[in-house]
Amino acid sequence: MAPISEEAFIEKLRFEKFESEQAKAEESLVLLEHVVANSEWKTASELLNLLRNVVTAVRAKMPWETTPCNMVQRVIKIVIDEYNTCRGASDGGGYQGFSQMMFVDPASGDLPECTDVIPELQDRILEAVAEHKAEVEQSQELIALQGESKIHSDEVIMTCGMCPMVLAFLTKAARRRKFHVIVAECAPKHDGHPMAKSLCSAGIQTTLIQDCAVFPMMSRVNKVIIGTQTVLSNGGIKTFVGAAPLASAAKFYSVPLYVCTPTYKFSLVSSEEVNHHGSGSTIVPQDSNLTSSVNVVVAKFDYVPPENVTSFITNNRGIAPSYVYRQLSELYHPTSYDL
Amino acid sequence: MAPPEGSKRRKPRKRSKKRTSQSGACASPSPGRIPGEPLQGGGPVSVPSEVEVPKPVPLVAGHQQPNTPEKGSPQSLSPKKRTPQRSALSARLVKTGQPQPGVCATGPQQPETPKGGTSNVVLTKKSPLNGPVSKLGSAKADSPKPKSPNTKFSSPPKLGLPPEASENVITLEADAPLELPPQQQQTKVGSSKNQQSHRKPNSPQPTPAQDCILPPITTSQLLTLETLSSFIPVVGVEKANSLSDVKEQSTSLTKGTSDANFITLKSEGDKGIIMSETNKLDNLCNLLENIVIQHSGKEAMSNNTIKLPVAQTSQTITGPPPVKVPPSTTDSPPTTTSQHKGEKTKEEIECERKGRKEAKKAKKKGGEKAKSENDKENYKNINVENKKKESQEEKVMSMATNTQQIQPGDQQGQLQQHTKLSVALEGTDQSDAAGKSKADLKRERREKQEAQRQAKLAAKAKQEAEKQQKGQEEAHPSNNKIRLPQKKKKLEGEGLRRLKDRKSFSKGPSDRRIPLLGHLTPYSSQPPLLPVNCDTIHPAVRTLGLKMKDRIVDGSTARVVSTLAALKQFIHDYRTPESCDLSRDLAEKLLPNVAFLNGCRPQAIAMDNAIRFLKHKINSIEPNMPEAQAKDELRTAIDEYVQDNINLGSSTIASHAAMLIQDGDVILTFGYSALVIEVVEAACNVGRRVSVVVADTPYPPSGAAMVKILSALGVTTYYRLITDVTHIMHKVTKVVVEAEAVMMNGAVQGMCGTASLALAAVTHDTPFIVLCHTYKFCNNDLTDSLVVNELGDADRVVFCPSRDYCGLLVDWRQMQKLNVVSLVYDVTPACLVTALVTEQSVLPTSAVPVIIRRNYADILGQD
Repeated sequence: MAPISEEAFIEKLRFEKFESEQAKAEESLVLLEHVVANSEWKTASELLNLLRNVVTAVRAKMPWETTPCNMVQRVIKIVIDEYNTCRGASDGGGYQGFSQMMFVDPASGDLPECTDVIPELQDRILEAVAEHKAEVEQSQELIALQGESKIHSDEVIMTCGMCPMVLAFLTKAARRRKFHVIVAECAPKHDGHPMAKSLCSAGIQTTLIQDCAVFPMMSRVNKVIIGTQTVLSNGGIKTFVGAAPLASAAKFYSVPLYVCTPTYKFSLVSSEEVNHHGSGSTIVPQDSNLTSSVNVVVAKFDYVPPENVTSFITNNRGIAPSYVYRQLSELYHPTSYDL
Repeated sequence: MAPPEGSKRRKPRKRSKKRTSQSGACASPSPGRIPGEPLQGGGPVSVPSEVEVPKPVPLVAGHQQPNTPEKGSPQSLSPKKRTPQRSALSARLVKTGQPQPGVCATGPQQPETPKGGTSNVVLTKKSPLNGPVSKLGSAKADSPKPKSPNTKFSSPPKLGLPPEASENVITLEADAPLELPPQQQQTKVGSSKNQQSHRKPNSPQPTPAQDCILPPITTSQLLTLETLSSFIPVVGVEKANSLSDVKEQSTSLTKGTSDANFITLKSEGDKGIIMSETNKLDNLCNLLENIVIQHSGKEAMSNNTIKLPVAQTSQTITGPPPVKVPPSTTDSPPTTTSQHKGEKTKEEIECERKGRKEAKKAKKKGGEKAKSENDKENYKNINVENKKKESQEEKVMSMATNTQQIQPGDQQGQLQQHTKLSVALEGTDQSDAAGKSKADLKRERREKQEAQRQAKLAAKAKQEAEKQQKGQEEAHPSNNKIRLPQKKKKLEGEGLRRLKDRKSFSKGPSDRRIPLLGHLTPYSSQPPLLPVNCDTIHPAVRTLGLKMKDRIVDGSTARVVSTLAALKQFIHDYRTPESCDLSRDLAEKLLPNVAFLNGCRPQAIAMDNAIRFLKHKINSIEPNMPEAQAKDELRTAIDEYVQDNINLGSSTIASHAAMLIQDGDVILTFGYSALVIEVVEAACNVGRRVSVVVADTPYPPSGAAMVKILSALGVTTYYRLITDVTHIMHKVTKVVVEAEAVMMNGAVQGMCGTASLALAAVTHDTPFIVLCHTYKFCNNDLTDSLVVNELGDADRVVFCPSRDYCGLLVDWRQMQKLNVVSLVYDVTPACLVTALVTEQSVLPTSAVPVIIRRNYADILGQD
C-alpha cells in the first residue's frame, strides 16, 4: 500500500472514501509508518510530537473519527515502550505501565520526556508497527474464528446494518452451524440490504426487516450481534443509528447483545462526545415537501450504554464492558489519554 | 350444486315447507331439482319450473336491482314507457290468462296430477291452496277473490307498505314485486300464478288492469339472468327523475362495476336474442330460440301439456323461464297466445332496450365520472362524521380517482369473462337439451364438465353451435328451460367453491411461508379472485376491499367506518328470500362479504369488533320483524355505532388527553394519527403551547403528512426517524400515540414501531400515553407481536429510499434463503404503557377487562 500524505489521508477521511474501519486503521498505520520512517526526528520526543500533530489534524476536522486517532495513540504507546526498552530502564510491562501512569498527570497532556538519542530506535519502532499492522489485518479473521463458540445450531440471530466484521463472523459460523439471521435494514443508510444479500449468498437463512420491526421480532431472537464504529472508554459503543432502540429492545427481552469489534476500535473517547448530526435531507420522504419550519435532523451515530452491551467479541477474547478500561490501559499509554 | 349452498339452504327449506310448498321448493334446489326432472314428461311441468325458480336467485340476488326497484321504478317510469309496458303487460295477461284455465285446473286437479308429482309436486300445489302458514299462503288462501289476493300479495307486511298501497292496486303490484329480492320475486311470481290459476276457475277473465300488470312484471323479472338487465332501463329512467335516487343508482351501477357490466352484458344478450343481431352470442341465442320454438311446437302437439307456453315465454325471454306454468290440458291457446306474447313482449322489450341504452350511455359517458363522484361521495359520507380528517380525505379522494382508473380494466376483463361464460352457458344448455330421455344424467355430467370447459370456452362455443343443431331435432324445450337456471345456479355454486378454494390456497403456493412467521397470511399483491358471475360480494364491499388493499383506506378507524358504511349499503340492498328469515339469511350473506374484505387485507381487530357488533345486531333481530323495519334498525344501529363510538369518542378522547398536556410540553408521536392531531388541536385550543416530534418510518412515510398538518396548525414540529428518537428523547415530555387495538391484558397493538417508542419513553422516564376508543378493545390477550399480525408489502421495503441500495434485493423471491418482511403491527406490553385515554376516562391498562365486561360482553363474548 503506497503511503499517502497526511493531507490526502484527511481528505479521504472527510469524504468517507474508506470502505470500512479496517481500511482506515490499515491506512493510518501505513501513514504512521511513513511518518516514522521518513520524517526528520532525532529523539523519541520529537517523534511523539509529530504523531500528536496527526491526531490533532484529524480531530480538528473530524472529531467523530476515532480509528485513526486510536492508531496514532497505539503507535505512541509503541514508541514509548520501545524507547523504554532500548534504554533498558524497563520492559514496559503492564504493571510497570501502571506505576508509570501513577506518576504522570494525564490532564497535563504532556508526553513523557524521551530525549535520549537511540540509533536503533527507528528500526525497532518500524518493526513493532509492522507487527501491529499485521495484527490489525488479522483481526477480522481472528474474530470470525470465534463464531462457532458463540452460536449454537438453530439459533435466531439479529443484526442491523452492514458490518464486515459481523458478516465474517456469521459466515464463518455458518460453515459449522445452521442458524437464521434477521437483518434490520438500518435506515437511513439502509445498508441492511447488502448485508442481507451477502448473508443469503453465504447460504444463511436470512430475513430482512424494517427497523421498526426490531421490537416485535426480538421476542424470537436468541442473540443480537452487531458491529460498531467505536468502543467508548466507559464500555458503551458509538455506532450506527438504530442501534440504541435495538439494544434496548434486546435488553427488554433479555437477549444478549454481542458487539464484534477488533481492538483498534477501542477508543479513549468518552460517551459525552458522541452526538454528531448528519443531514436531515436523507430521511425526508421524497415526494413530501416538508416546509422549512419543520426541524428535520438525523443523527450520525447512536450511543449504546454499557449496560445494554453483553460482551465485546474482540480479536483477543471476549471482553465485558466493565473490563474495557483494562483493555485500554494495555493498548494505550496513559500519557496519550488526553491528546 | 355447490355443497355449501345446499347445506346453507337446508334449514330454511324445512321452514319454508311449513309455510308454502313453493318457498320450500325454492329453498331446496338441489333435492328439488332431481326429483323434479323426471316429472317433466308428466303433467306437472310446473314443478320443475318452480324448482328452478330459486336457482337464478343467488345470481339475481345481486345488489343492483334492489336499488332500482326500491326507487319504485314504476313511478319513475315516464308515461311513454309505461304505456307500452302496460300494453305488454296486458298482452301477457292475456297470455297468462289463457293457460290459466288449464292452470287453475292444476289446483283442483292435484289429485290427478300427483302421479307425476313426487311429494314435492304435491306440496307445491297444495300449499298455495291449503297452506296459509305464511303471508303468501294466506294471500293465496284468499285468492278465490280476484282482487283481494292481489292486494294482499302486493302489500305484504314485510314490505311495510302503507295501507293506501292496497287501494291502488296497480302501483302496489308494480311496487311489490320490484321491491322484493329476486328470490322473493320469483317465488311470488309462482305464487301469483298460482293465485291466478286458482282465481281463474272462479274468474277466468280477471280485470286486465290488475291481474295483467302483475304477471308481466314478474315474468320480466323472471328472466333470471336477465332480471338484472330488466332493471337497468328503470335505472336509466330513474336517473332523470330524482336526484337522490340517482345517487344510489349510480352507486349501484358504478360501484358494482363488474356486476353492472355483467348486467349490461346480459341485457345485450337479451336483445340479441330478440333482435337477432349478428354477433356470436346472438347467433347462439337465435339458435336456442329456434330450438325452443320448434320443440315447443312439437311438444305442444304431442304432450298436451302447457310446455308450449313455457317454451314461448322462454322464446321471448331467451330461455330461462322459471315461470311456473302449471300443467294443463289446454292445447290450442298456447300458440296464439305465444304469438301475442311475442309481439307484446317485443314492445316491452323495446322499452327495456331504450332504458338499457340510456343506462349504457350513462355508464359509458358519465360512468367514470359518476364512479369517481360516487367514490368521493361515499368517502365523504364516511368521513362527514370525521370532519376533521380533511387532509386524509383529500388524500383518499385523490387516490380514489386513481383506483377508478384502474378498475375499468378489471371490469373489462370480467366483462369478457362474462361474455364467454354466458356464451358457454347457453351453448351447454342447448347441448344439454339434446339428451332426450337420459337428460338428467347428461345434464349432470355436463354440469360437472362445465367447470373444466370454461377454460376452453372459445372452442366450446363452436361445438355447442353444432350441438344446438342436433338439439333442434331432439331437445326437450322443457329441459332447456329448466336447465338454464339450474346451470346458472350450479355455476354460482361452483363459483363459491372456487372462491373458497382460492382463498384457502391461492396465497399458499406462490408465496412461500416465511420462517418464524409462517402462521401469518403472506401478502399478495392481487386481490382475492372472485368467480366470474359471483354476486355474493356487494359492489360497495368490493370497492372497499380494493381500496383497503391499495391502502387508500388505511388506519383502523377509517377502515371501520368505511367497512360499516359498505355493509350498511349491503344491508340496504339486501332482500330476504321468501324461505328464510332475515337474521339467519343476512348473517349468511354477510359472511362472504366479510371474507372478501378479509382476503383483500387481513381484518384489523377494530374491524373485527365492528363486524361482530353487526352480526350481533343481526342475530338479535326478531324473526317476525318486517324486513323493512329490521333493515332500518340495522342501519340505525350502524349509524349509532359510528356516531357514538368513533365520532363522539374521538372528541371526548381529545378533550381527555388535552387535560393531560401541560403548557410547553414536547409531545412525541408516531406516524399519522388523526386522533393525535385532534388532541394537539384540543390542547392548543385550551391555550397550551406544545411542540410535536413526529417519529416516522421510511415506509410508510405517513409521518410526513402528519408534520405538514401540524405545522399548518402553527405547532412547532420536529421530524425524526423512529430509530433516531433516542437523541431527542431528552427533550420530550410526553409520548402520545394512537392504538390500533387494546388487548384484554392491557397490551396495546399499534402500528409497527409504536413499541420501540414506548421502550424509549420508559428508558427516559417519559409518560407513554395511548389513545384508544373503547370499541377497539379486544377480548384477547397477547404477549408478543407475532401471534397476531399482518404482513405488509415487502417490495416497499426492498425499494427503500436509499440511493445506493434501492432495489438491490428486487429478486429476493428467487433467492431461496432470503425473505423480506414488512410487519404491520406490533404489540406494546402493558408494562410500558403509562395511561390509556379512552372516551370513558383516562384508565390504567388493568381496567381494560372491566370495560370489556361492562360494555362489550355481549358483542365480544359471542363468536
